[in-house]
Amino acid sequence: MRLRSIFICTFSILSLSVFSQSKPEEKKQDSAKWKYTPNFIVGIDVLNLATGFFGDRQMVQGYVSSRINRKLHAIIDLGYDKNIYQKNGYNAKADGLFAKIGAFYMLSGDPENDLNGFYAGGKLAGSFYNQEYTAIPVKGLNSEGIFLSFDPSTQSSYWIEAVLGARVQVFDSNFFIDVNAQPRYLAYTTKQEEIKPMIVPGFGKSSGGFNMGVSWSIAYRF
Amino acid sequence: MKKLLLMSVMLFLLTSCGSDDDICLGEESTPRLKLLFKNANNQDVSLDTLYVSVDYGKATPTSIITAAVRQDSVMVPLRIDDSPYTDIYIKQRKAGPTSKLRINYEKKAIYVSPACGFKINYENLKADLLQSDPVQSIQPNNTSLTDEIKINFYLHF
Repeated sequence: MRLRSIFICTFSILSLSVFSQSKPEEKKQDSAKWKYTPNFIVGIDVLNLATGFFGDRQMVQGYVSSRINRKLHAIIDLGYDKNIYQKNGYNAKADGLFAKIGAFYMLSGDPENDLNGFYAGGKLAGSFYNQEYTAIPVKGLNSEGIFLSFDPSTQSSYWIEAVLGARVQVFDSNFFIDVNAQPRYLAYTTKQEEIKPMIVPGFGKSSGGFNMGVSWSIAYRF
Repeated sequence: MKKLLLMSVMLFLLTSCGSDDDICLGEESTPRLKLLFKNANNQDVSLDTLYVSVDYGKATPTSIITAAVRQDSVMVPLRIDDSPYTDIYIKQRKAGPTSKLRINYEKKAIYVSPACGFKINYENLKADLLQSDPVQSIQPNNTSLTDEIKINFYLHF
């Protein structure tokens, strides 16, 4: 866990010096009326991909976003997450696919480049996964180390997610760096024998219902 | 811009507060067996001293109560492992005779919460007095154990 935090910190600091913006040159000016032309930005989350090497959680996720009017972008995320939970007598693992759909609004754009800026938005997300709880503690006085185990099962969970982040173009290339935080709330989950899931792929630790995700993506504009 | 920064800082603070969901407060744990003491005339009695120990499958029985004075009842945690019964040993004097009670039951695991995991409820409680004196007889009262409110057995001394 500590190693992972150190990695995230150094990664963020390093990336600042490596990818910092050069001076902008030409000014792009929007026409008075914005017209939709097919445009896509595809991103891959490199932070969570890399932290998978340092921890128990392996997560691959990416997104496709499209600008649908001057300030609004639609976005679809897809990912795969594999995680384990071993704590307080629990032993659980879960892996599966998740998808998110939503939109974000450019709050404060760079006047020189309207694809740069801070944004905020919301998403609906769902995860379809396999889970296996090989140990769940049974609590009783004077008896320790008693567990119940359950067969593997397929479950699904759904959550709502806010997204707050920033997107910056790398020099004059078609590449972007996209950093965002996603506070999320687990809205509904299917349950095996009434057991509240401890981990949900794509969501993270789910026992409290509230969680925060951070992603750091490299994106390419088509 | 300042507002946005403030908002994100607050959201980060929220998450750091929201992670303490792994503490089980214990009120939703497995209920204990409730035994009430009576004398030969079916009146409630308080025993002058009492020793109670329970076999939890360990090398030696675990003492629940040692030399307690003026006890009129006792709460005994039962086994939560696969054993279909729990043996309880009761005596009134340190070196005196010991009664052995065997409580048979059917167990049911009930999910409580992420922090607490499961608890056990007991049904069809049956008590056998394998060794009498000081306990003379057992009178059943409530054969299901789902909370700690009802008395399960009366012990006659």
